Amino acid sequence: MPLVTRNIEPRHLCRQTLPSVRSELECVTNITLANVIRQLGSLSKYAEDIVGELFTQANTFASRVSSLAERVDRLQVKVTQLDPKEEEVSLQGINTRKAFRSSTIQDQKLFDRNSLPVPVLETYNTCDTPPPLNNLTPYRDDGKEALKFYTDPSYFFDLWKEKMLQDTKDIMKEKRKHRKEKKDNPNRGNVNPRKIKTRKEEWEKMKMGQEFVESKEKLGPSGYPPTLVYQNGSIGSVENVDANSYPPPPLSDSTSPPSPSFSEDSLPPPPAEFSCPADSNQRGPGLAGPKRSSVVSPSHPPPAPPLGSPPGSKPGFAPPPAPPPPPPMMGVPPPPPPGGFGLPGTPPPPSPSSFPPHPDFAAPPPPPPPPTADYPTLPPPPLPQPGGGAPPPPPPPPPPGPPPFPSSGAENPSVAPPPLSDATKPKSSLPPVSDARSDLLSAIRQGFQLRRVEEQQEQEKRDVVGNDVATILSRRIAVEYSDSEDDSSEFDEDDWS
Amino acid sequence: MTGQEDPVQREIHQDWANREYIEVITSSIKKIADFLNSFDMSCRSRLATLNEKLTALERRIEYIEAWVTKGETLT
Repeated sequence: MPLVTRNIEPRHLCRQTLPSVRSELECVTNITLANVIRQLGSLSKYAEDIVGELFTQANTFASRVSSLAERVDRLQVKVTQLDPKEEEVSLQGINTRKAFRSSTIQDQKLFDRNSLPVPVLETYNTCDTPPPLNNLTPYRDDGKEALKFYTDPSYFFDLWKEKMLQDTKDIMKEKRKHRKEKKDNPNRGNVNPRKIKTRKEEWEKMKMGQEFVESKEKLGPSGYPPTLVYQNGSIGSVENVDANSYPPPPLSDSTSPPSPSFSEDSLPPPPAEFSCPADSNQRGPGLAGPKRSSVVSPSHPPPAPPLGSPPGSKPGFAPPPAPPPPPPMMGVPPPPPPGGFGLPGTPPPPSPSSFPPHPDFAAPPPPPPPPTADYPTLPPPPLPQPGGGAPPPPPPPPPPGPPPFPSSGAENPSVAPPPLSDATKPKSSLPPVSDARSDLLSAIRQGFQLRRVEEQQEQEKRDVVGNDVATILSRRIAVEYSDSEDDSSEFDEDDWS
Repeated sequence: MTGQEDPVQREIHQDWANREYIEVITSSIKKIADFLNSFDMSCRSRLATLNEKLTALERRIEYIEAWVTKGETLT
């Protein structure tokens, strides 16, 4: 639905209830004329706005032109000073001097709130603001903003970012694995000889006509036809690697629903956001329970509200996160089922916490920390009761010693340790064993705290490095291309040796 | 009867005249709005072509400068 940028204000000239006057026709005429004058006023305001925008653009171009003219003049002077006899043609110069790289600045944050035209911003400001849910933020245990559960403009960007970072990690792991394999089998020789690439295949494909070439590509490297939604987003399709074909970051996606009132801050396409915040409140608590087991990480399709409304509009987005999950996801599924198992009696409080698990899951690879994100919202007193029965399944890492205590300790690292130990100590039936248990408990608590600090460090590192689309994409592409180059170069070495 | 019609008729005539006047004004307002829109569009497209040319020129100048400088710092 296209939004009108500038709406001339008194839309209807004479649709008003008339005051009771004797000469109604004259009254209508006067009212209409007055509205016409108001219309002229708003028209002139918009005209000034239009011309002003054009003027600022033209001004920037004028300044650029003047700087360009200066540079041309300087160059002219310099070129006349050049002397072909003096020219230094040393081989060292070719190698030592830095090669010329033109500065390819990629435009970013094009559809930002700042670049919104003023009249559209005014229209946007007439809308209702979201409710002040951030007043509840100090009462949250997990430190997330309460408003993010109602409407989170950065949700899709964060999702995409997590996916990209995960992909880079996976690619690096694969590289390491490959290197290890190569080291382990130095005598592999020509197990996979490089296929001699000829043009014959391409010409054969094109024989029937250019249109049919693509259909073969679309079958994908794995042989089965992916659904249209995948769009080269899977990690396995190295051949189809192309900077443009990556799961496009939400920015470019937002141009397809043409709404100028959305910026990078409110990344998700307008229909998604408009319908979602309304739905999320109703759907969130209801769907949190059944969705718990499926909503594990941001690499899964987004949780209930965004998934419900635009399943069709974000096809390129939701499924591509699905292929990478299999490797990293293996350790993660165990915690959520026990999470669902362990919290049957208290669905409402943890339901908002069903959302925080995703960023938490993606950040730390090992399983134990995620359940800790799940549990802190539980009030400690009720916990020891269900804690006795439910916790045995969760985290594998706690040593097989006394299961209930370490797991309950694992569940509540954020709760002050003394009250928890006090609460759980009365439960121990064997006094000598409880000392060992408490030692274990404290050790594990320290361990968990250590991991948490690592998490934070990782997070901080990521925040510092570069939070924008271009750097993340460039990093991923660099890793992937270097990976394929390494492979091919290694094969080349085999061939020549 | 004609006596009653005259003032009414006059009023109605006057009303029609007023409406025509208003109609002229509103149609000119619409023409102005149309003109502003098309002016905006054409200006933007021309400015965009200008922008493209400027960017191309800038890149060429950068290249030429790099070619010519031979290690001196660019002033």
